[in-house]
Amino acid sequence: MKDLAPILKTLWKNKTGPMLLIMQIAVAFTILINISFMAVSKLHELKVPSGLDEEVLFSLRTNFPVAPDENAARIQQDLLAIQTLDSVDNATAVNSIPLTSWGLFDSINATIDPDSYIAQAGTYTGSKEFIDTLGLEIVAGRGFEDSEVQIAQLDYHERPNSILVTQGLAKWISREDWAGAAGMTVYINGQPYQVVGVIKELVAVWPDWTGNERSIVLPTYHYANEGKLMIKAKPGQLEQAMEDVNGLLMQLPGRFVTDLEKFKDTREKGYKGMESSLIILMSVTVGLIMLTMLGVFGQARFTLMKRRRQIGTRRALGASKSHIMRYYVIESILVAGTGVIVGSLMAVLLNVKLMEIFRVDSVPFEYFLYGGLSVLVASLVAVIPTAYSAANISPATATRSV
Amino acid sequence: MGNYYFKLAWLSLKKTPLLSLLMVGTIAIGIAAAMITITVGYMMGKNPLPHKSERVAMVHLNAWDPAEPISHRRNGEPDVPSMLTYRDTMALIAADRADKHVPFTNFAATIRVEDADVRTAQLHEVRSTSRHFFSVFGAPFIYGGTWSEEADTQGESVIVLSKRENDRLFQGADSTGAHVIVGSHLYRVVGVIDDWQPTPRFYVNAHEMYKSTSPYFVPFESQMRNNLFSPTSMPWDCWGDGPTSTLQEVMLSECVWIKLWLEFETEEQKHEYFEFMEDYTEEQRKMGRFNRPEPNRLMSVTEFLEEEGAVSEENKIGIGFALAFLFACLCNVMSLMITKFHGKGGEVGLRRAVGATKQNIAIQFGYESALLGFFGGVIGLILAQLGLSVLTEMYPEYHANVMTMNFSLMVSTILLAVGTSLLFGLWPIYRAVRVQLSSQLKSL
Repeated sequence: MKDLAPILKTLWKNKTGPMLLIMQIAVAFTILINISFMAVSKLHELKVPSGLDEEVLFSLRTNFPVAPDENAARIQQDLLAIQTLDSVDNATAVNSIPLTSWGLFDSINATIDPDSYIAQAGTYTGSKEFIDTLGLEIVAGRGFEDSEVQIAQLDYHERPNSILVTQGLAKWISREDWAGAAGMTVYINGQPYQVVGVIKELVAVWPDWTGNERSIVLPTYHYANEGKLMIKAKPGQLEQAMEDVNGLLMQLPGRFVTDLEKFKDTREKGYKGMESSLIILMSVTVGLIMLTMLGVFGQARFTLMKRRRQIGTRRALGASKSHIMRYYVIESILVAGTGVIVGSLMAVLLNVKLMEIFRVDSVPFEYFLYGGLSVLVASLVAVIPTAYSAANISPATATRSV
Repeated sequence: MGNYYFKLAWLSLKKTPLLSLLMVGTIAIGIAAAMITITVGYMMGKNPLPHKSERVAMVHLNAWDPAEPISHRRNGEPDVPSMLTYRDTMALIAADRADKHVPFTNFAATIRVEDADVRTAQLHEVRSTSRHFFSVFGAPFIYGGTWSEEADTQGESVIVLSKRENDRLFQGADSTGAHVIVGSHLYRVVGVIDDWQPTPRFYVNAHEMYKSTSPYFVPFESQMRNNLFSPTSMPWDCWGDGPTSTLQEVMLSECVWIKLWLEFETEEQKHEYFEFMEDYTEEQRKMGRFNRPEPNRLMSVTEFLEEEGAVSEENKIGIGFALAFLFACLCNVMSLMITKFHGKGGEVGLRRAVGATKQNIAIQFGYESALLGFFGGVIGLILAQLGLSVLTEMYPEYHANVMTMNFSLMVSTILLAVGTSLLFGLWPIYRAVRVQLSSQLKSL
């Protein structure tokens, strides 16, 4: 450590270069910490389970080309016909398809007073077989009974009074014990509903909504001249089922079938934007580390030119190769370390600002630890080749012109 | 004199190829990152109707459930619906207090040429609106024109196609007067608009702003007459107890589903119109509607873009990050420049000794940093174009317009590169010029 004093002295005497490097590392570190934190949060969101039986599900949108008063009968007929296909396991009509960004949401209140607001939740309604077709798992209470589920005209006179909620929402309704949500009463649009059961997972329709683990399911499917169907194929017969269902539906004149899509593809499409953001964030992270290395390398390399004579003199006066290397390494650690410390302060400030805008959490301490370590390692990796060649300067050549 | 300095700068860069490459590369990467994010942010936030953005406005009426607001704004305040009920839309249009009224909604229908096989029909989104849509929002016609006033009031079955659909259905010929079948209704083509993609597509909500424009347009009233209704794809929102299974029921209901834009001759008239909206609301209150406290809104294009958050916070932060990244890159370049100019101490000493002034030296190095910036800018521009084309692939939900640099952005890229490298060259130049004559000459 007796090198420390001369190193500091040299750094201070020629401070512009090291200062610039410190600034560069600090800025890079600030961005690095915040971006890698955002990337990891994005990764978590991407991994949110949909709760659906994704491997065998597909969906489509179609019309019911009949007189308005025959719509309900048509839907039931279609569903029955689809369910009897050999390749199909089950089918249901739904108001919206998960992760497609088109659907309803409702505010859930604890009492009739809107000030007792609990949370917002995505709203699903489906015909019979909704739970089974989507492959949802009831973890508390019960599912809907057949008598509760109905296909109704879109007027709210035939209002259901029972709903299912996801576990994500149950945690908001009954904070201490989510399972206790089953049996409680909540209010939606001023109307009471009894929570009869809790679904483990059912993702809402908006992939980028941070609350998308909160959904409710109503047992009344409201029909119109168009509808969306979700269909569960028998295992391994997904392609076949899609073809069969399309063929079956298209037998009716005036019919269209569109957005015929495997749920796997729906999911991929829904998350595509977030996935792209993640890739960008990660490549920026890598780019920043590279840039830092480049800066350290450049700085060390080109101060080496200036110091050839100094190093030669030191070698001539008896400094060993390892002394010279140690000098360079300690110097680079000092500079990078200062950069990391300044950068950490800036990163905290930036994070506070970001927290206000995005309501993200504060960056955990580990990010600073690992981020700082990786910047130090990167700058060491960058400086070692230069230090090595500096150590190999022969005293004879370096001091020749003196 | 300029040529001479350029030559000197060029020679100097060639003398230390690795160092020059490092500097140019670092500038290029920083510039590319900055310009990619700036391009996306700029294109997203661009004013799409610069000459009349304050005279074109959207009506937001607070006809909603007294029990609960429709949703909450980002700042937590209760929001007002951005769409209208059918009855309010019709009442406002009938009152005729604005220069031009553009109500619109959309539906999906299968469309084919009149005599073509049924199986060639494709499902498309159709925009149903008024004849003023094209002139207010600036869509240019290549054949024919918009429909007549009668077509709007009588709900005639007439249609305007996009160029792309006209190319597909009529092989690009002038199709005015031809017929297409929309669902099961015969529509007469009256016009074809050119490729048209306002960026952002300011007249719809934020999540649709960067998607492609609709390929077909029909009179609003004709949608009602022909009973074309797409409850599973159109934007709409309901409250209350009314039935809404059919289009007729929706028209009578309190559901909001129609966007209404207006164009005024002067901004003065726009302010008067707001007064009129207040009067209308007051009148409706007497009939028991409009029982919410939040005020109505008449939002100009720029206000609406701001409110919808056309440029998301994420984008703004992205630009901030990229600029910080550019700053880090430039710090790197600056320290490289210091090293570089330091190494040229001998040359400076010699030039000074044979009569060059400090200014001459400064100008010489200035040319060198400008040249570095220029090369960095050009390579950065190429990198940015690559980056933008990769982004276009990665974000298919955004129209490619958002990821495209226009000419002024390209020029700004080069200017930014040259400007910043000159700025960050100032300190290295100052240090180089200050060199002690004697100390340098001694060692030559």
